[in-house]
Amino acid sequence: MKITSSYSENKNIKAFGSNQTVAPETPRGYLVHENFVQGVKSTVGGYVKNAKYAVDAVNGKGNDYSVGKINDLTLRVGGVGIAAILSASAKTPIAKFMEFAGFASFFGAMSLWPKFFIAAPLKAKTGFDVNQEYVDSYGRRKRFFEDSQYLPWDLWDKKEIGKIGDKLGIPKNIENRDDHTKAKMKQIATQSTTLWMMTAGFATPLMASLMGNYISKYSEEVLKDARVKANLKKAGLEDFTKASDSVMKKIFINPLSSVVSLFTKEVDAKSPAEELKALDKAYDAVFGKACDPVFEYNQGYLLYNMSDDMMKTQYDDVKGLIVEKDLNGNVVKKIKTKNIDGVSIIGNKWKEIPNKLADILGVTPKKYKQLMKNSLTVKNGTNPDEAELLADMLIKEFGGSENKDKVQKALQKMEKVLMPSVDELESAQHVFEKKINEVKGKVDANSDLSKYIVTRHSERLADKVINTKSSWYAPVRILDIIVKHSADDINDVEKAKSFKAELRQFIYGVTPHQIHNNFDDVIKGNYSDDYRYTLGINKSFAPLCEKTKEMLGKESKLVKNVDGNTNFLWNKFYEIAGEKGKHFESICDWLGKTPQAFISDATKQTGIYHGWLKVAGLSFAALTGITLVAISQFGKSNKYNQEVYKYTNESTRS
Amino acid sequence: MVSVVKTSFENLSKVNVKPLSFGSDNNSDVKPVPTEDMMLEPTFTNKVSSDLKTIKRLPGYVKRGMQGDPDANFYEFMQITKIPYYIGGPGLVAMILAGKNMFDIRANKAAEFNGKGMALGCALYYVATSLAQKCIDIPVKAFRGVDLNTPYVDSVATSAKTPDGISPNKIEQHKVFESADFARWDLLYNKDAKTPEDINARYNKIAHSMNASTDKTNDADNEVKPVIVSLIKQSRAWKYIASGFAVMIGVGLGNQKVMKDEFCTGMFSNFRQKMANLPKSIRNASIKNIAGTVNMKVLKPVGKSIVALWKGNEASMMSKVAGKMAIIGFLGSIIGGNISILKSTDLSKNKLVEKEEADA
Repeated sequence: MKITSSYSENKNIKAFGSNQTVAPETPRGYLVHENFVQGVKSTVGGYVKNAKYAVDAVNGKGNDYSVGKINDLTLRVGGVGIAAILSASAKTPIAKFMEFAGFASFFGAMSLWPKFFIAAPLKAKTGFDVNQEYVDSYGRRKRFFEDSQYLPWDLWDKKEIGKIGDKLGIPKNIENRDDHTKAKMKQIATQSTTLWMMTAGFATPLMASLMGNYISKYSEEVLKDARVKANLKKAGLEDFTKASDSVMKKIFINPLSSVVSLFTKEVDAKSPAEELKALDKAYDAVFGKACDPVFEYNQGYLLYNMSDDMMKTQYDDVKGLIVEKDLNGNVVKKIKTKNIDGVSIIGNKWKEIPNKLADILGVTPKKYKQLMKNSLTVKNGTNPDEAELLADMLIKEFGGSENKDKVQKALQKMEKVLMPSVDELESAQHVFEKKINEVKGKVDANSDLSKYIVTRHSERLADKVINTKSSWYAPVRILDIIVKHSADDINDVEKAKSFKAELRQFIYGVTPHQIHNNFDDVIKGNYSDDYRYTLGINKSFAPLCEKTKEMLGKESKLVKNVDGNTNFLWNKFYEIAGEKGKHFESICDWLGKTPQAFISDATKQTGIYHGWLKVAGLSFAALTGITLVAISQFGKSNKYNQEVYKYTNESTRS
Repeated sequence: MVSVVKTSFENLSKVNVKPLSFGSDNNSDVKPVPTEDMMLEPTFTNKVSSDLKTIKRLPGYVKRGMQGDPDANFYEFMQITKIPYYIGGPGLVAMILAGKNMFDIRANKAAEFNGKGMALGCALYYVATSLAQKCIDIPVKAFRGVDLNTPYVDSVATSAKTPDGISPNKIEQHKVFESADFARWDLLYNKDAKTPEDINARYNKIAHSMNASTDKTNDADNEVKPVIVSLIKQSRAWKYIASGFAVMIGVGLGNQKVMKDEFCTGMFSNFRQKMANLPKSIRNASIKNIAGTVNMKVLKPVGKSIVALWKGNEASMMSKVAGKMAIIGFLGSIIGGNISILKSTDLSKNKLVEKEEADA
């Protein structure tokens, strides 16, 4: 902070009509010049001060300034409170975070708009900051131009005023030049604060939603990383991370590299198509059952199965591969089952979850297993009619009004059990993915095939996590729907129809509107786990979605006339999708909507999202434009501010 | 500042520039304005008309502000700050609804749903804030005789507008107790009255409301002034604190599911339809049903929403705490504020100093 008070030198001033030298209190006011860090510091300090002011004021102490400051504090505290309340209804941690991010972007936009879109361009134009702050002798911090009828000009450096005068184009050879400069500054400041108030109401929500849009886009990964770290610690998985270095090496690097080296040797002479086939076979042999979606009630647990299936070596053809090799492919030693015991423990922990859920629900694990197994079989798409049967069964079991409160409470408890476990699961996935990436880095040099195998592995890992989550959450979602409907709804034929359809979709694990919404995100490449999960679309769709996105990007004309080009879009999509397209088609089929309609809806949504972004962006740009045009007119003479100067030298008048 | 103006006008006369034109609104339409400040009795009509006048002058404040009128002052700025206050919230709702078409038909409803939540939240925030203010203002008036919203007409001298130094006054609507530092004590005296009692009548009344034994003192004004100052500060502080919680209450209540589901849902369309189809006699009868409808569609959802906010989401500790905090904080700041204010402005236990005693 620099003190620029011209008063600070006047230490001793003679009192009027007195011989005594009276030392009046030295004014301690100064203009505030702060860098970013100091600014943050004093903002925080300001809130602490405001809290003190609040305590003073409720005791009847303080003044207008200090009482007014309380409002700043309470509004922000209230804002945090809102975020806390809203985030409670958000399901995912990301969504929870976004409530706070929304609060932050709203208040951020509120202070950034006047700073960067009004004061900054004005400073470039005029050389002074209309938001210049000062601290008065009592330590009160205010905007210098806050009250235009009271401007403590003494705080300004005269040289500074002169410079600003130059920049404002005030003629040099006039009387009272500084006064003219100050008048112009005052005029500009008044204009800018009015403009600020006129624009803030529009700029703040616009800017906040645009900021929120980008924050949600980029914060997900950052947040996930932080969360994973915290969760690993909280879940006591720290050792797992440490152990993973050696354990993982054994599980992943060596079998995988073995597979790679083995098959690169074996399939060298064959056609690429055959190579892939052979690799798939090998991959399935190693990871097959463990990585495929598992629908049995106690098998959906990534680590448990991963370790179990591999180490039990149920597959004869894999037996020989479970050996530890160095990166050159030399056998170091064979892996023994006990090496992965640590991993199995975690797997077992997760295995307990369905039992816990059954316990909460008050049904026997056997019954629970039966219910959920059925539901998951239906989810598998093998027999859609079973969904109907299961819906009836679940309604019968849990739909009675006498059970409602019980189920409601059970649901909340289940959620509580699931949240930390999902966190653990995701954290473990993160660790595994990291390992896979390491492996990828190491084996990349070998061949494209190794890349392929690693990518596939990573995709399947994600699928597995999703399926585990889905097997955990299925009962929660289903019960949630049942509880929401009254007994009357269930008995009413018409209502029951739609209710059962809804239930059926949830049993299946997906609803049409989720597909609508999320397919768009998948196409845009924002395929988070939740989206993939609800979609039933797994990570192996990622390249497909990338390609679809590309395709849609190229076909911008089509986006404008989606309905007229539905078939064309679908054919294009199918071309890219190949067999996956068929899978998608079967989902659509069961949900009673044509894939064409899905594609065209997704395309429309992409278009509309971009449209929204365009409208919001353009509105913001227009507002900025208007603001800048207005700013460019600031300081010009008008009926309130006449530029009438008295020149000291007539001849130099221009 | 004055020097600048002077210089300008000196210069004017010398160079014989066309005299300043102040625009048509300044010369032809000038209406005579009172040159003295004037307190208005704090009646409902006076308060409303005072507020309406301020709103009516708002475009003028903006216009002059945008041109950088040297006479634009802090009061005018404060009036202009209300513009973003009332535009920002609806603006945010508009942004949500603008994104509505980003989704398919079912999700459209979801966006509308969220939009409704935010819109209700905004509206309820405004309602809760003004409710909090009323909850402080009314007891203060009832028990302490101080109407914090007592309006007065402020006649403000502007800078000289012509070479002759004519400076037309402009009128602002203020409140007598809006400032703790510069409360308009002068306006509370009955200037035309003859006896001290009559001059001090308003102060005596306030002192009486504050439970002071007014017969013991003949300068009730000096006794109550510091108490009123403290009262102004306290009431403003409590209002601000309550409005912080009002933000939480408003948006919190508005976004409860029950509120979004039920509040006013289908109320107007149903009502209009019903009314159109009914013969007149039944129409009258169905007006009686309005109370029932209001109960069903407005009061009950609000009530349920308050309960939901209080209970919070079982799974989220934060929501349970935040919801309870909002409600307790809001009610607490109103009740606690009232107790604290009324307690500290009670003069019954203070021994009032009689004038003669004080002089001695």
